[in-house]
Amino acid sequence: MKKASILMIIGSMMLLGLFIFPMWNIRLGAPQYPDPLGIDIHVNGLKGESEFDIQNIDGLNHYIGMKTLPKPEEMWEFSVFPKVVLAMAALGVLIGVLGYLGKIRPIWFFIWFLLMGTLGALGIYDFNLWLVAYGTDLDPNAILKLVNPDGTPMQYNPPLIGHKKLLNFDAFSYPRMGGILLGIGMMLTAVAYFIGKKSQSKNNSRAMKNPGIALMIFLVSLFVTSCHSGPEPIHYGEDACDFCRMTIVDKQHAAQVVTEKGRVYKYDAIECMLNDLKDWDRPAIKYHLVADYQNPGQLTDALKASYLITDKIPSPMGAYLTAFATTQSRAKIHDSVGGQTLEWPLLQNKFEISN
Amino acid sequence: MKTISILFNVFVIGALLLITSCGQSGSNGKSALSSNMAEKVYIAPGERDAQYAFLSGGYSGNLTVYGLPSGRMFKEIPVFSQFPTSGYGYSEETKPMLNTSFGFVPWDDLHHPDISQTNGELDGRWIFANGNNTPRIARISLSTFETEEIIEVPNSAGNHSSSFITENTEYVVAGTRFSVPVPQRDMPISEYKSNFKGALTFISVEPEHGHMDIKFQLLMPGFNYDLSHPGRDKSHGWFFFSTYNTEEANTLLEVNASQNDKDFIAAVNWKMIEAYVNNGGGKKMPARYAHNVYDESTHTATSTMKTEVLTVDPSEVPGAVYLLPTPKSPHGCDVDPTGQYIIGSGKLSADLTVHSFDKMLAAIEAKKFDGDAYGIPILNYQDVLAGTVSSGGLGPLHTEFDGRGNAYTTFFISSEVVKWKLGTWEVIDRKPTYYSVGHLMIPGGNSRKPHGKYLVAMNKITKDRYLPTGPEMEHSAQIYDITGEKMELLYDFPTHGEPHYAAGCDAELLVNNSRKIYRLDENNHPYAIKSPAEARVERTGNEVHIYMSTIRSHFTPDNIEGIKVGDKVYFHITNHEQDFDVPHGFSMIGQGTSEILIMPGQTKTSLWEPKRVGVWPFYCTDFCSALHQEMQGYVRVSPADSNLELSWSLDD
Repeated sequence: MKKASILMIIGSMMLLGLFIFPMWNIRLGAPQYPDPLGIDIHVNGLKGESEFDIQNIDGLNHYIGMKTLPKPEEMWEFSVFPKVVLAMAALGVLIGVLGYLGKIRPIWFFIWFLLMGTLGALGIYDFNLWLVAYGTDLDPNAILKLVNPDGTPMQYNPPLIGHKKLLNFDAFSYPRMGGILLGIGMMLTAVAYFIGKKSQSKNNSRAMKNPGIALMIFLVSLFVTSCHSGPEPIHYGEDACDFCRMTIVDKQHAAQVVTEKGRVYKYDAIECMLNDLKDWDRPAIKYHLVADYQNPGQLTDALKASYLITDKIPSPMGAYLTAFATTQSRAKIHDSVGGQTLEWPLLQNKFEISN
Repeated sequence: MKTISILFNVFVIGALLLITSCGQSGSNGKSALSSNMAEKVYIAPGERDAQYAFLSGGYSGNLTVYGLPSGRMFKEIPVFSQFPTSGYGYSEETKPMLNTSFGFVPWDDLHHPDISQTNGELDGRWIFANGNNTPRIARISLSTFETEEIIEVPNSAGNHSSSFITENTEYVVAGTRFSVPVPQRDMPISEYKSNFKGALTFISVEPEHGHMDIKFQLLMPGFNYDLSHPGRDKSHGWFFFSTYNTEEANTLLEVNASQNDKDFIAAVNWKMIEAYVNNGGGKKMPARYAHNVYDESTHTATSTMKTEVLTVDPSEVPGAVYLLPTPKSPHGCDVDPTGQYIIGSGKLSADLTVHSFDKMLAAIEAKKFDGDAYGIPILNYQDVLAGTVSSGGLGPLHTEFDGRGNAYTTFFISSEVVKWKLGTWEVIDRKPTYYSVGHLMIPGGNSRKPHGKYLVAMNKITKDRYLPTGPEMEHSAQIYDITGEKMELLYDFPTHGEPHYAAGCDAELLVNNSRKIYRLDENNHPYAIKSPAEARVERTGNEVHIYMSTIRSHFTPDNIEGIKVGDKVYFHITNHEQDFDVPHGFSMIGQGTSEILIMPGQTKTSLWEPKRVGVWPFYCTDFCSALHQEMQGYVRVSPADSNLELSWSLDD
């Protein structure tokens, strides 16, 4: 129990790292910004990664009508969060000390963990609300009013975590040292609970239920579900081919792959996808998708699709390669234009790809 | 091309040599095929060069910055010439930089750049350069790459044996090529002999900010002081000047100044003279010379006219100056990295003369003199001679060093670079140049620690090296790899103006100190505005001051009314950007000056004197953003007797 209590104290003290290090970071890189612009999100305000980054991000954002980044006094979070963090750290230390003195049972470690987890989840939820508001609440007189293909205004909220393309900018959003210490600290308090519980059950030889595990699973699943890992719609006329960099326009010949990690690659032609797969050294692929010729804009599983090579149907990059969702629909076209029919394995051979 | 006329009588020999060197270049071409020269100079897109080279622009008056080994030009730094690209010499802030005792002189002939040193090694703080025509010395910052200071040199003419610095940047030294009456006066030219003087000027450099001040002028006999270099390491405290025209001829110098078999290298013990003047020695003399200083915090230059200079008569400081006989009108005067050898290049000779510093001290100690000139002791040639390099070339000019015991000398007439060994004086290698090489530069070559990787030869004649561009062509430079026993010609590249000397250093010395922006919160320009809310227009009589700001992509204000014909309108523009490489420009229709380019955080002023009634547009000259074309404004100009009040606005 003493060991567990010390872990509890250390774990909750690690929250204080938030007062030294930034919690989160959003970085914006573009061709003309080889040194990316960055925002460090501290528990008590936003700071540029380099001195003038905030000013320069605001300068760029005025083109698309975004509000300027908030000053600490413009968001209640920046005054409340530090107090919450401080209070939770103090509470954690108090619980740890009481545990050390044998005044309380380890279940209190877990209660602290649960409380902190809830507050953390609320914080992330609030952060996401702000990101969305920041990226969508645009000045109607903005210089550049960009719309999605369906006519809705384009939104510029950076991702909660991970990478997102915003016009010419690549936005990356990841935790920083403060946030990482917070995570490790919370893990330590959970571990403290288990160790404390174990030593207690040894002492008391009393069976125990384990709400901690359930909570861990809950939290882990929270992270997993927040990672998106399915196919994405292709924005025709806007998205660029990840292989040849040309804009994707042909709804009957586009293609897409999704990796196990959820990264999406879009192609303007099936042959571009196949060529890209030739020397594939990126994470393994979960989905191969190709456009169904009969249903423009619809993607279908490339491994099950039926293919046709005919000079009567040109494809964007000159392979005369077309895909169909079913052999029947291919047969219909093949009857009228002729050409060579083939299936995925043969196609793989033809383009010398192994995955 | 000062040396051409002098050398004309040996042109035939030169032509013969060119013919024989054709065979050499043929075999050279063959070895080029088997080597990987392209790789050695290729800097892939996005990659950066290993070294900086600062090439003088000669009659362009400016300094150009290149990368080595690629030969790519990065920037032209305006120094002595007006420069419309940035507005240097046109903006109200920089006009004072070009002020002289002769008034505004918007041009000069920039010759010999030299990088500041600490303990005999390059420290990368400043680079100094001389204006040859209207004698001036400039100091350029190597963090902003802008000219920060220019001091005029009185009693000098043809400021050529300049601007070389001592090994702790104690002094930047400026010697006169043309001797003149001191002080200037109305007198017959034929009375030159013994009446004209050659001033050698020691300009102190204040260690913290680099500010220059003339410490003293040594008034030497009326010879021509051609080039100079500081002693270093063991010879630190001495300075060496080559001379010609010790005949003191005042006409047809190409013949009359070539009569003496030997001229001199003057050795000056500046530490002794420094002590002498510090103890109250020397004579104050009335003089007029401008001292122009640019202040980075106010972004403004001021010019002050100085009225007095301290002069020293060498005969009054016995033991401070000696003359070392040196054959054939020496040009280059170079000191090796150890400070032991002083190389005099007799430009009408085939051989190089190398003097020994130790032998010079021994001869002085033994008082072995061979007469004197105007009271200055002359040492015996044989007593100071360390050796002679029998080069086989013709017309030696300049020597640089690689720090591995080798020296490299250019030969103008035989168009080649010759590598030879210090101490043994044997020739190791020779390579042709294209054509008629003047100076050469090894980065750090003029210091205790040369960075001997590349050698840049700066040629005087270009001829057929590039696609023809009519009668006038830029000069050509060549890069040699000198890491091996034999030199290897890697690359040709065109230069700007006429590079005389150059200075170079490793890139690491400068890259991290190079400024990206000026801080707006440190801008102390009297007409700067820190916020667009302060933008305004004020009138005093017919002077109108417009306090204007810029940010992508608009001027504040951009509509101005109430200006009248005959007004003097000052646009004081502050660039509010704090982002790297986002300048804004300004230009006004019909303005009798250049545009100005304002860096982030900077304030610059453009003067406009409207002559016609109308509504006149101005615009940003730098493509600053996707909305650059929208960055424009209008000024309404009313008749001189109009009663229209001043007004200004942005998007009201």
